[in-house]
Amino acid sequence: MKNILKLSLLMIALVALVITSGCGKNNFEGTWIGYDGDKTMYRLSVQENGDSYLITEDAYTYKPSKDYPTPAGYLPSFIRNENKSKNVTFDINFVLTKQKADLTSATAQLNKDKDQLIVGKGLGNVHFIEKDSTLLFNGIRFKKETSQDITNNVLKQLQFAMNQELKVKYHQYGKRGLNNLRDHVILGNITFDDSALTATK
Amino acid sequence: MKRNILIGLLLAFTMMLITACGSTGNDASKFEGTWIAYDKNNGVAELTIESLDKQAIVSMTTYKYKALMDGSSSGLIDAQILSKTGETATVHEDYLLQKNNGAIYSIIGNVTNNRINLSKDNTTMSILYNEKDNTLLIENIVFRKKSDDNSIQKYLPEMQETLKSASIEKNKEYMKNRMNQPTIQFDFTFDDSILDNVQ
Repeated sequence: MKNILKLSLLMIALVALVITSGCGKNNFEGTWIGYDGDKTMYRLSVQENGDSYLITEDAYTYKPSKDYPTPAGYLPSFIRNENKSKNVTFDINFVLTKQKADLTSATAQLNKDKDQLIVGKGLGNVHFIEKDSTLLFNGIRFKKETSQDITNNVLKQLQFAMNQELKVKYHQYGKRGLNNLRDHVILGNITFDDSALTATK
Repeated sequence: MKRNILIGLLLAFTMMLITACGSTGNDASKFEGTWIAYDKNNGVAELTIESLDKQAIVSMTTYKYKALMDGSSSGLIDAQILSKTGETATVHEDYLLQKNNGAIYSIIGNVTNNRINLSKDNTTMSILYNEKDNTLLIENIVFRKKSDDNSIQKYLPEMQETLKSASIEKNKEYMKNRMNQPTIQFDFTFDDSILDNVQ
């Protein structure tokens, strides 16, 4: 009987410990990487500051270092089937560019259930999604930047999106294009400069 | 007697533990997963729902083909205007599959019975679960659970055929009263690489 009592007390203490520890504390603090599914990467920085949190959000997109070049056009000729167009190669360098920050050191409060940070200013709350330890803020899902791979994976998606944009812009002037009044475009070196991230760090 | 009280206490704490940390009794679970809707004119829509107890995270993405050629670059204008009867002219029509995340993307909705209520920028919307045939309804669009027979890839050939037929018919209509009647051969390509990149 005494043993059962001891065992029971031990179990109660254990269960109480688990409950009071909140079934795993929601940890908002750190740097989080988000992607809008298109051409923008977000970096959310959450810092614990006494009984509140400080939040900064930056957005990054790739922009061509110069305006997109346009292939030259020619006036129609009276000689039928005369082809004036020539092949031109366009190299495009995309530079990762930091957009104007929506949030700079904004103060946020932890809610009662400790699963949301209330940012206020009509910006909505930062939700902690327990099942996969991600954050959800303004329609963007954030993963904790536990390694460089998290950022690199998003950058790959952005680079793919920019290559798709180039298809929309230049495919019609490529080898399948049949307009003889425009130069034919060959896409050369497509490069991506991510130094904005290193500068931030 | 004491023993019964202790067992009762233990049971109560175990229950508390399960209800506090577990995911049983999850109302949103019937919505969970990927759902597909297809419409000949509007393309394919993919609805992804993640269950969060009595809430759900909802994202909708639509897929549509974008024409990469215009009348000049495809060769269509030259074929229709400059080619003569007896000649064969080729037209290149190329399309790129694009996705659009739209307004409903990673939105948290509240689940009540068979409905998820979503709200964004002062507009509300609801997703209704039809238990009779296990489908979801957004306005009049029916979403069915994703499967081998109901996926984005499955509907692409149909979308492509619709575009091909529309181009061929439009050209026929244009050419029917023309003096010159060249043979116009359409050469279509479809770039679906976006699907290889979807995470």
